Amino acid sequence: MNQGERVSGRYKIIEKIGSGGMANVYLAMDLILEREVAVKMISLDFQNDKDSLRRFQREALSTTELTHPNIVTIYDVGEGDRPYIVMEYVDGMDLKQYIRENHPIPYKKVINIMEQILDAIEYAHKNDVIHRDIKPHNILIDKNGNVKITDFGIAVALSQNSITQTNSLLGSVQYISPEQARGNVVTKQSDIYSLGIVLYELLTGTVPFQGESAVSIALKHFQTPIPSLHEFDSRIPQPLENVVLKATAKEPRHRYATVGEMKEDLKTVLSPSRRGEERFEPPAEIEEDTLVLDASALNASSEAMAASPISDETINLSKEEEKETSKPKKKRRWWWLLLPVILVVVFVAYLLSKPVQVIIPKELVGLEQEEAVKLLEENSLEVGEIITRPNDDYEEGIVFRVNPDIEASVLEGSEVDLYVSLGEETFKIKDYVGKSYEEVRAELDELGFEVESETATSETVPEGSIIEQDIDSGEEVVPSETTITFTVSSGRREIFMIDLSGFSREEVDKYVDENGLYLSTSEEASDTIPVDQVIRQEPEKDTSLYIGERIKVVFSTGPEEAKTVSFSEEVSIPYEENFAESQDDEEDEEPELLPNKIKIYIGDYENDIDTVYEEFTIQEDTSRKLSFIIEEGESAEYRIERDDEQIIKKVVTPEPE
Amino acid sequence: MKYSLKTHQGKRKDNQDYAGVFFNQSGLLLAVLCDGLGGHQAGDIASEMAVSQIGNGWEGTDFSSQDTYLVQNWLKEKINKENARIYEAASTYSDLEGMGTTLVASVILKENVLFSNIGDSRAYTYFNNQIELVTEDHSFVSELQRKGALTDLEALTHYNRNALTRSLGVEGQVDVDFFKRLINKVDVIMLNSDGLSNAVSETEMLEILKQTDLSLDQKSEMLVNKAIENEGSDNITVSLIDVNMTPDHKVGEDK
Repeated sequence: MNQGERVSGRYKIIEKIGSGGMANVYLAMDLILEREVAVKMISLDFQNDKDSLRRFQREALSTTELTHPNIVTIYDVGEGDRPYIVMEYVDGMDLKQYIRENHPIPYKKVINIMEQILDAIEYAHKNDVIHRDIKPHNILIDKNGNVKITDFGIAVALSQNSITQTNSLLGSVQYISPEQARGNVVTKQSDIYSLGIVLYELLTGTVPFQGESAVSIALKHFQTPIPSLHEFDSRIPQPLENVVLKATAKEPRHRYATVGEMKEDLKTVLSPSRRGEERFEPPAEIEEDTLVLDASALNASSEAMAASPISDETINLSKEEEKETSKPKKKRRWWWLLLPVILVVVFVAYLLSKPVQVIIPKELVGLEQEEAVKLLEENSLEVGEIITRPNDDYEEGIVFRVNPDIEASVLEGSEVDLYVSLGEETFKIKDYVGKSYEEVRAELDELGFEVESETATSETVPEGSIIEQDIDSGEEVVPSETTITFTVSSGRREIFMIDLSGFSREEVDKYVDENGLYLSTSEEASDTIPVDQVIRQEPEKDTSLYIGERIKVVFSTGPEEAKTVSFSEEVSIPYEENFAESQDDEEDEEPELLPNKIKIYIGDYENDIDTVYEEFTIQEDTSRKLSFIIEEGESAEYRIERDDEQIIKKVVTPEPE
Repeated sequence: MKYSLKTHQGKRKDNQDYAGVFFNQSGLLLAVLCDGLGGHQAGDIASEMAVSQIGNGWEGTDFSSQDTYLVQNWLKEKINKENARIYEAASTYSDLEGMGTTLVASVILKENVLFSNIGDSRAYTYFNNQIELVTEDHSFVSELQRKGALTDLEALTHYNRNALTRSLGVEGQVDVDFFKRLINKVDVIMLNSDGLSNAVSETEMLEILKQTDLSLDQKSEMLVNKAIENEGSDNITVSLIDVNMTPDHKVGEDK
């Protein structure tokens, strides 16, 4: 619900003021009566369940009749979108919060708060309304210290609906009486128990029984005595602690008979006259339940027996029966002779007519079987089945459990099963190597082992089977105390191929070695990948491989060598006559022929046209074969200088074949 | 694998139970049954969310029938993820507030049948004319009863017998219980909501399950009818799976 929304058109939501397991509470304005109210929206769906809805309405409406200054007044109960209850708005906080903020609270204040609570519950009980869910969340305190109790009877109305109540259950179970936790009939005494727990919390700031779960708390209500308040506060007057102890007695009949009685007791707990009061102890169960026949009672009964037929009257009625014995007794003399017989008859009759409750002694656990049997007999109990089981906590032959459980109240003569320990059970570890881990685990799990596993690859052991065990076969161990760890094969080692591109030959060799692979290599030229680096691989990256598989890698041989063509051409170099200048004037002297100086330049794949390729001299026309190397499709050129004068320049290409 | 699912709203106006059977890539069967709790329509949402999400997730897995451990882990994680989703939805949308669901699931593996549960929906096995309750209810009353603190009669009549101590979507984290049975000790798996187990006794269940001349569908029908006949007040849902009839399953079979 959001601010401004209206419930049934009449109650305008102002703000959320609280939430619980099954309900949210809002401050709202009653638009008709123009007053602030609290609206409790139940977050449960009764649409499905008309029975629950009717029960809820009936319970809620029954509390509208309660008018008391310490009870939150219910104005209206309705069912709009969801069931809701409209009630008096209390401007304050709940007792849980109050305790949190104010602990420790002075005794006088505690008593004052408690008296107001008791007034309210006393009034409700007189009107035959049992609250059933008394807890600090349901007790409000306004700014003037006035206590107001809310949520009468609603807990039960709601609990009938199928819902997860994990949280709310946990909130309530700390305060509920043992009989309530058991699901037995809830009485006014159950409310008294809860009141005792609330008083405990007021005094100590905490609840007596805490636990992780509703179940563990409920068990404590059944079995565990209330922790001593003096541990929290040694100054607590004994009479005050006694109020808590008496209210929270496990047996409803040991508690206060009425809330009024509790209130009266509480009133004087601080008075000096009560100093030195003994700590309250609930009457021991055994004395109450197992009646010990004392002689006088027996006499009285036996006389009664003489006068009236065996009935299932109890000994408590013996006084009335005594009246009968005072009637004239005609055959008194022979009657006395029969007394022992009659005593036996009466005793047996008593046993038959009034089964006696016995508490199963808690001492049974921890005894040797024979002693336990003896103890059962002493307690008028029969030995039931003897069940032998391995047990880690008790030695062989010792009773470690009984059924029914210890401290259970059973009829005299009931059978009690004894669980006798066989001692710690040991188990001889087998050789599990090679076996299926799941099977072995199931088997050992069943025996109580803690089984753990680690995985490892194996080339020989199939996946899921055991490679290794950390406890040797043949060792004797106690399963429940043993953790056995197996190394389980995850199959052959699998490698995911990496991207080798750019790896050098050394790096590839290293990778292959490290991963147990085999390598095939080949080579190719590449314009982009440097020499001796990987161009390609097979399989590709991320392919899974097992050890021993072969991979193929292609390395680069560098850029491809251009394809060249060689060819040659005959060239004739003409000789030019050239005479040396005469040194003298002898005309008759034949002029001397000088050689030509020839320079050849070749421009091809290997030579540069501007660099002299060959230099020589000629003295006649000379033919020369020039060789060229060119890239396919290209051409070569050459030029020839004679005495530094270019005489030939030509571009050549090979003759087409 | 033969199976049969039957549900009936019982005396309620609508049905918050939800059940399904799913097969993964390797043909492994997962049966899930949820009983929604609380809120207006929210109960059906929670139960449907849980069954469909877990079922769809299952269909995407490829566990083999030997992966007991992996399957258990997967379920644990998946159920917790679903728990968080429902919890989130319930705390985000006011109309879904308080919703939650129980869950019981079963997977048939090679050597065993795996069960898991949260709340009071149950798994039973039928074998050799006997019926066995496999799961342990997470309810206040059942837990006390298992501790020996309540008698059967007290448990049966307890005013708080509907209060669960564990369910999906109520707290941020949830513990999942697992149980295993050897496959050769199971003939039929029965998953059911408390609408069945609260109304039909084990003896009555056994009477129906042991009849050899009835089909699975007839048996599940009879179980549901028995609950109605016994005045069950809640939604009633039953999933029966015949473990022995295992013609090779093809993925994508009709559910």
